[in-house]
Amino acid sequence: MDDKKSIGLAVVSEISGRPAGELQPSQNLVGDLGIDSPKALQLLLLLEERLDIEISDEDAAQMDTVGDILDYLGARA
Amino acid sequence: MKVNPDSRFGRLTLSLAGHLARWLLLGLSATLRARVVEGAERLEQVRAAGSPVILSFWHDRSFLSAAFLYRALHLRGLHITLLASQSRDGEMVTRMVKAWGIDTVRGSATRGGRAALRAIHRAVTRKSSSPIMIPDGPKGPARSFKVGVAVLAQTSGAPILPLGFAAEKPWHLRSWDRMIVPRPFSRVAIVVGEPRHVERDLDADTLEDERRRLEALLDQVTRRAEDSVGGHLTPPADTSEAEQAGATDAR
Repeated sequence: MDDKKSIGLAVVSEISGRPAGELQPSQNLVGDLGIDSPKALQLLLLLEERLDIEISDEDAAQMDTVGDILDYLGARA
Repeated sequence: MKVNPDSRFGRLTLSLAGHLARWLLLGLSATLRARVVEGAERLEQVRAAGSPVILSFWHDRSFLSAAFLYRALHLRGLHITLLASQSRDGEMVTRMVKAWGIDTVRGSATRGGRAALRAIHRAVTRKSSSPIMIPDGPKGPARSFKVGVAVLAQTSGAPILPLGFAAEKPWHLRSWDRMIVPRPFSRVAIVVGEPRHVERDLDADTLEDERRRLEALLDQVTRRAEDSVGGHLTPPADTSEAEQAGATDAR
């Protein structure tokens, strides 16, 4: 796993409170990990800050699962 | 009557309703004897500084607050953004405040919340706009402070400005929050609380503690406003809109 994806996974782990090792690409951010709107805001801001990127609203709207985030970060690598 | 906001008839109806509500609100407000009974200097500091604050009050005070915020802050140069729900009520409110030149972002905790909260965050951090965030809106439970407002303060750095509103012997609508409508020519009291910053590095438990403190703070300023018009802060209605859908007739 490349650096960006590792950082992304660490951020999801930090926001959801689940160990990174337990996270699966298929897990839904809201339904499985309880990442509601406030947590999603924290997640997106933290990803932007740690990776020094800007995530567009269109891209953010497509992020429903852990895998969506990892795929997005992989595509930006 | 159900109105489809996407139809031509629906748009026209909502537009007319928005204009009517705006004129009713302004007309009624013009008769009120409104006074800031505590914290007038804080309001002045906010207006003079021009830095964004998160304007917060309970949902049942929305009607009371609207004309005051428009006149005391928006017309005096503070850029305001309103978070309005994606419901028909939210559509009407949006049309009403747009005519005043106030920006709106549409969404709520239940619909479009992620994008809406992000848009509000951007309005604060990039446009220095002060958002109106009603922490128990749009559907309650009444006087329950949703954590999203605290997170917005935490991540944007803007403090929350707690506002208490009360009217003398008001009417109550039969909505989930028993929305307060002032009687014409009655006294209205406004209490402006101390702006409260939310620290950036809070863990989930500490953030929950902060959310409870903010809830208590908003109750406190509302209670003080009630005290000054001879009213009292009743226990919150233990219903949300989901439990008490639709009823909005004046009691």
